[in-house]
Amino acid sequence: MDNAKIIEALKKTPIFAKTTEESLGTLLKVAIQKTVQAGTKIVEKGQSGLGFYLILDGAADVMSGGKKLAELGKGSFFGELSVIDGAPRTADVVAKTEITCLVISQWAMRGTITTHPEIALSMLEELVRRLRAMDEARTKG
Amino acid sequence: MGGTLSRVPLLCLGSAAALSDGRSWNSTLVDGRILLDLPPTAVINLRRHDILPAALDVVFISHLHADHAFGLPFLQLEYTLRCARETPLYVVGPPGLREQSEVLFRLAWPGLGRAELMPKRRVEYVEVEPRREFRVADLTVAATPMSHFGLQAFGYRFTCRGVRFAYTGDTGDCCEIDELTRDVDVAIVELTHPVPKSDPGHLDIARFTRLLEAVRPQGTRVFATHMSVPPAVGLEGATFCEDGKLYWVETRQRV
Repeated sequence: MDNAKIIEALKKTPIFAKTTEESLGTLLKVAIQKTVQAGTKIVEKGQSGLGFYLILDGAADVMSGGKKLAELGKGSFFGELSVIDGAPRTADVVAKTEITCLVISQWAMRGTITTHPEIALSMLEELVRRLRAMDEARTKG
Repeated sequence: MGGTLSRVPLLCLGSAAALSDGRSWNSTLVDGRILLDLPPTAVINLRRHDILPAALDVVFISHLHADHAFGLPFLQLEYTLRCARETPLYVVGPPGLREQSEVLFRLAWPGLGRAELMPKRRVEYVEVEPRREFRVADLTVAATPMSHFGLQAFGYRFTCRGVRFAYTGDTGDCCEIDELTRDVDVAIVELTHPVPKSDPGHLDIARFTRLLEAVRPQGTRVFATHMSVPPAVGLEGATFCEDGKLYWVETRQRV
């Protein structure tokens, strides 16, 4: 996918919707596109990780202890917790289909957040949504 | 003290000396764009961490031994076949760097030297002169001669986003180490022998400990790398680099 198409895709995601095209272009210079086959473990629970992942195409399952916690699709992100605190991954993320992700390093993401705090707000909104969903699932369970 | 707090990431791509025990050879990525030494494992470790080799702005090569410089053919291959970028990559090293780089490329990839297959991204070689300050990319750099078996080996001082760094490369005991590490925020220092050992071309734990004591009053954070084995016990004030680990270093920017 070329940069113009990626920027177009990023603008449709909640976390980058308000980021300028110029800033996204700068971010893309140090981001990497990664395509993996279905069944591939993209991040592994317990491992240290440097990348923030945004799904450009395809789908992935979030797994822990053999249990599926969530399914992520186009426009979703993962790896954000390690970007924030640098701690090891909290779950496995496994490609459900062939999947293409944009991978942004922890420092590039932090730099972008510093200059574009609205990204942090959007990430927080999504994190809260996930937390509430987990809480609800636990209450029901 | 006033000023803005500046934090810079430091990723250990490898921490081993030439005779590795299975760890990758010594290489450190500073601020996601400055590489300290270029062993054959550096490019593969960048890729392993999903970091584009095209993100590099400057590569410092301390000397032309294989575990510090033989990653050049792999980086050149990346730039020939995969990485397009507008700005040049600066490769900084001792005199003879350009020639060695060309020889290595021809030996490593025969047939790829034709004009149409030359790197898509310009590579600028900067062969250093001792103690003369110079600019590469946005960095002001000074190269200090180190003591390494009579080779032209250099340590480097540079400032990145307000954080003052020193990197020794390989060196035996010499007074230039103190010159190199004076008044820096971060010192990345070779520790080939984490035990007492006499070696004219490398540091052992005794000399490393003396260095720690010397820089402690100035608040320098010291990282040990290029270790033959990981040290068995910790040392107050020192961080022993671990392959794949990310560290954050900081200073208060002087205004």
